[in-house]
Amino acid sequence: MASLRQLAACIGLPGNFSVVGGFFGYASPPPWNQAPPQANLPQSLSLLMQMKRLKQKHFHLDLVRVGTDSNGLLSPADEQNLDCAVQMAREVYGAIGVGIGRVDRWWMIPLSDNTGFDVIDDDCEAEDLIDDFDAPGGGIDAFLVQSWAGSTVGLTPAKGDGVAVESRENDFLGTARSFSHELGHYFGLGHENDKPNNLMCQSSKANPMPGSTQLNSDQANDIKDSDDMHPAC
Amino acid sequence: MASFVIPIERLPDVVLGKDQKFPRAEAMAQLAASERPDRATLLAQVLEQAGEPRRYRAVAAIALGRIATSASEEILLRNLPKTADDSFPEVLLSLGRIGSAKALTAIDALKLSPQHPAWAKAAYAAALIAHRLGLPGHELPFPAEANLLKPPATPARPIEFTPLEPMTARGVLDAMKRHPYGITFDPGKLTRIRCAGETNIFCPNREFQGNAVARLRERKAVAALGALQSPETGDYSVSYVFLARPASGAGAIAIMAYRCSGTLALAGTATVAGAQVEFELRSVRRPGALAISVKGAMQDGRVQITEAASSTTREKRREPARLVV
Repeated sequence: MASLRQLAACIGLPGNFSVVGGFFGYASPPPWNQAPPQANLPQSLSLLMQMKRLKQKHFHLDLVRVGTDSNGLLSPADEQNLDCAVQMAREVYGAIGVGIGRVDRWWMIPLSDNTGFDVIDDDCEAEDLIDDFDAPGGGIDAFLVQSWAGSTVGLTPAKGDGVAVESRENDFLGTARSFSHELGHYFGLGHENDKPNNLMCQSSKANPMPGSTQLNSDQANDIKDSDDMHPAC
Repeated sequence: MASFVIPIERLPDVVLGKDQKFPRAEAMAQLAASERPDRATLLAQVLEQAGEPRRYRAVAAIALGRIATSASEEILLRNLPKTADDSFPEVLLSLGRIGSAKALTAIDALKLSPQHPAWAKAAYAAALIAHRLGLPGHELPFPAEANLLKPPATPARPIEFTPLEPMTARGVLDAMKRHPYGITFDPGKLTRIRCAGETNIFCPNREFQGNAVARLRERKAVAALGALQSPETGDYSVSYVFLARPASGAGAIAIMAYRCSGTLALAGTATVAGAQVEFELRSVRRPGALAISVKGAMQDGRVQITEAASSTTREKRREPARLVV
């Protein structure tokens, strides 16, 4: 079996890295104590599982936190919500044999830039956000915004330059599902509204979490065929 | 991703943050679209509660704009003087969309300096009101020729324009009622525009159709809105705001199309001859923009395109900042 260092090199990490911050790409490990009382939130990380997932096809993420304060941070709940969303996405995509490799979570659009993108007015503004910015890390751009005034909580434009998701500080499970769902769109998946247990069923028709994260074999094949997929380490 | 439908009787508690089972921002949008008589006062409680985070106060300001009643305008107006408030940009934007002449006077009275973080938003809001009401002044600068993009001959992507069938048109206009800009439309005069996998609907202002189009030579106007079909829900919301104003030259009009948040996206000129407007629009240079060029004519709300193309590549996009940890 490849060593941790070999796998880290495979996903492009430098020689010296921390396990939680570098190999997983989180600000902090679970349990994420800012989470609301919700069952089924991650309570620990498995290094062995993450190493196994890198020996499958995998994709990288560049996370852009929108509306950060003067310290470059979102609220503690939003920062943990983001880590939780990625960890749950690792579980969802891991179930179909796809890993999430390098996670670069430190990109940001500060509130002081006055872009207004931290509060999404409507889908048009979410598209502008995704069109406007490009994190150069080589991963899929995922923008975490603080609220969304329209009828959606996440969006992936047809042009496929990234995804935007609302951080719902009172609903880590819901945010995590939206995050994984939008990545599904990014990989070309459409809605499956007649399958309430499927990740691609819209929330209003889906089973409560965590009963709505499944992906079928056709969806898995489509995801594995994506141009953003990296070969197994 | 579409969110939940929240029972109407639970909306007040969700909006005020007492019931955390549903997304609060979504609740505010649903409250604004409801017929509840207390909707504006509930949203005012959020907007005016200093302890509330910006994420909710800003959404409350947007939702008040979507209610578009004199009561919601009054609430926005009484919050307008709070120019240091972190929801001030959204208060401005909402007033721009629905505000009366009184709102324009109030924005002018702020006398914001160009150094104020929301100065550009205030200028846009004032321009929106002035164009909707046909009032003098408050004109935004037309971009220089060097900032207008032109798609290359190859490779270029076609842009499709087709008349919208009446059933779909009614659905579009029902959705647009939730995003008011103080203008109305004729469901028989909408055009579907498909480009780069995206669908927008061009919705010309009913007030300037037929021979009334000649009035665009004499007064400013919100000439049309664009409606984006959400790739997530299939629903429609405003994507472009087309502002027109008289320009120098016989029958000439300057047209500038702004994105929903007030960023200039397209600009060009038009000429009115009888009941017909001939126009030419190009996209404006900004990060991530596609080079777009459209030429055509509109007669009685019907659009005929003679030339329309988009580049396949974008202008250089911005790099987000990075926190060194």
